[in-house]
Amino acid sequence: MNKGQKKIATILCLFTILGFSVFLILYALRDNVIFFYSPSDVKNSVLNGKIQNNSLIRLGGLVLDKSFYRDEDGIIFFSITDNANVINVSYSGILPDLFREGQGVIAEGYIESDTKDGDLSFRFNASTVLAKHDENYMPPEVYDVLKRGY
Amino acid sequence: MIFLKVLLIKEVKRSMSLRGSYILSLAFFSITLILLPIGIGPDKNILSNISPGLIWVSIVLTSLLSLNSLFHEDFYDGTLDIYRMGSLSFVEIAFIKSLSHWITNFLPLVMVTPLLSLMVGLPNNLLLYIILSILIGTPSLSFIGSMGSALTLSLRHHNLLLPLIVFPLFLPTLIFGSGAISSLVFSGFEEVFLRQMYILSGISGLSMVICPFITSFILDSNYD
Amino acid sequence: MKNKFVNPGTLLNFVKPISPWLGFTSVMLLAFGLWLSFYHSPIDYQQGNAVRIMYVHVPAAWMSMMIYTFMAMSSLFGIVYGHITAYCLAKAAAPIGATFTAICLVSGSAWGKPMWGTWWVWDARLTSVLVLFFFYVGYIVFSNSFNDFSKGEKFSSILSIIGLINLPIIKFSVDYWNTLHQPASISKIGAPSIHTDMLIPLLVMFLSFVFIFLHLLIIRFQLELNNRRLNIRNMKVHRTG
Repeated sequence: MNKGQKKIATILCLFTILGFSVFLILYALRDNVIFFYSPSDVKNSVLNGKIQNNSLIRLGGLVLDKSFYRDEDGIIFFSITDNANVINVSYSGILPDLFREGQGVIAEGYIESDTKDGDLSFRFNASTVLAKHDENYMPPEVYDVLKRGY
Repeated sequence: MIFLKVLLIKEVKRSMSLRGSYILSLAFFSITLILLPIGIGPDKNILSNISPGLIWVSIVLTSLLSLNSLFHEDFYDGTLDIYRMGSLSFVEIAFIKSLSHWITNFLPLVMVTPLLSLMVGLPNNLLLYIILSILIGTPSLSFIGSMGSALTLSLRHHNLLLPLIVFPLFLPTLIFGSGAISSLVFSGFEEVFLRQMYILSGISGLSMVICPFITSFILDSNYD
Repeated sequence: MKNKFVNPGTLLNFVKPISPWLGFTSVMLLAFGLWLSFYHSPIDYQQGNAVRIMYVHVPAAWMSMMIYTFMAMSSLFGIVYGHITAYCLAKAAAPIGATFTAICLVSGSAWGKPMWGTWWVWDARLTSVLVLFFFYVGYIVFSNSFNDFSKGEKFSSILSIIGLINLPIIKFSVDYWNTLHQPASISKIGAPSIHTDMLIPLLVMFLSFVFIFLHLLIIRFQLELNNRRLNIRNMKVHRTG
């Protein structure tokens, strides 16, 4: 190989690596990377034995309607759903203002699974509960109008 | 090509000599990985959950320490001047220097990782994965760090300034390197692991191609 | 680029008379914007009064990214054409940008506590903005640690251009990663992401921040120039003994 050919080979090699790297990154980012796991994810992983009892996870989803209550000791119970599966959560602590039924939340904590009579049941002990809010800002009156419109 | 090979062998040999920097890197890496569990406490559960992060943080700290000497000696004893007069361009020199930095500083760390991962309670089945992530991810640290090393060449407090300006650029490697392994510790989602490894190799590939050019531009500016 | 404004002295003489007016306008707009956002804007249907933090937080976030872009662009001009003006503008803009980033982080934190339930969370948007702050800090420290002015300017310019890679990460972090931080409201076309009554105070505040930036930029630009002149004079004194 003479000098010119070497140069061309080097440049080709560089561009191949460059293109391949960009492709890899874009391929990995093709859709959302998960910051939390949905109830269905958790259920499947427990069934596959991928999540053991007492492993720390982040669980995200919507708070199920009419699932929220507080017992005498001040411990809070609610359920997180992704409209396919439901996981019951217990939590003691201060809830964020935006926490309400139907709202998206992320809970950090430990999962406990139980197989009773062949049935799989879950309990999630949250150590932190975070509320996620959307990008819509409007006065309450406008919201009412919009809601009536739908 | 023969010049590059000779230069690489020379660089590696010099760093691997007894007074070379690899021993310091090795020592620093071991010290951090011994100190961290002592500071955090001996709880096996906590430790094994955060062990990928601990190992990756130690690697990043170690690389920040060792990058100082990348061009410094050669700049002040005139070796770079001689290279400049020779047939090699600064791009090639920057590439070889970064590569030899990777070989002499990170490959030894990989050798001791199995032993030290016991200390931080890394689950045994993850050992191969973390070695893989170190091998794939650390080239980006060497190549990105070479830019910082060249930038701080003429400064008196270069060993303090280098970490300050370089660490933000190390964050992606740190995030995806430890994130890939953590995703295996936490929940066993292989898909998340694979994706983060793709991104990690993408970062390494990009920095290998782009950084030598920037570094050579900075080195050139040092002679203005 | 043959332009008379390339000369820093000419540029300074031109913008210096404008500077007080910029300051005056920004104070007026700030007062108007604060009145709008605290008294004359509706509460949010979900967040109530806490939504008012947005009127400081969001403009500060825009400013932090805008100023970094400005800084990196003028650094690029400085490297390509070697103009002192460009270097001085970049160096003058950095502390202002860092301050806006700090305001953005602190106000975001104060907003996050009642709304999300946490002061801080390591998600992609918050982390990348924190990294932006460290790029600013690194640039300021780095550019001030050189004895040799011309070298320092060139190297800190390179550093600021390298940091440009962080901006798209900030922008797209909320779209790619499933973050806690909500996506952008303004860029969405069609659906009413933000109500007009809330958009107006937001834009007024943004405008006032822009004027504050320009006002401070001119003052700091003059400072940088004087700094250089002083440095050159010192060098002359040393040389002649």
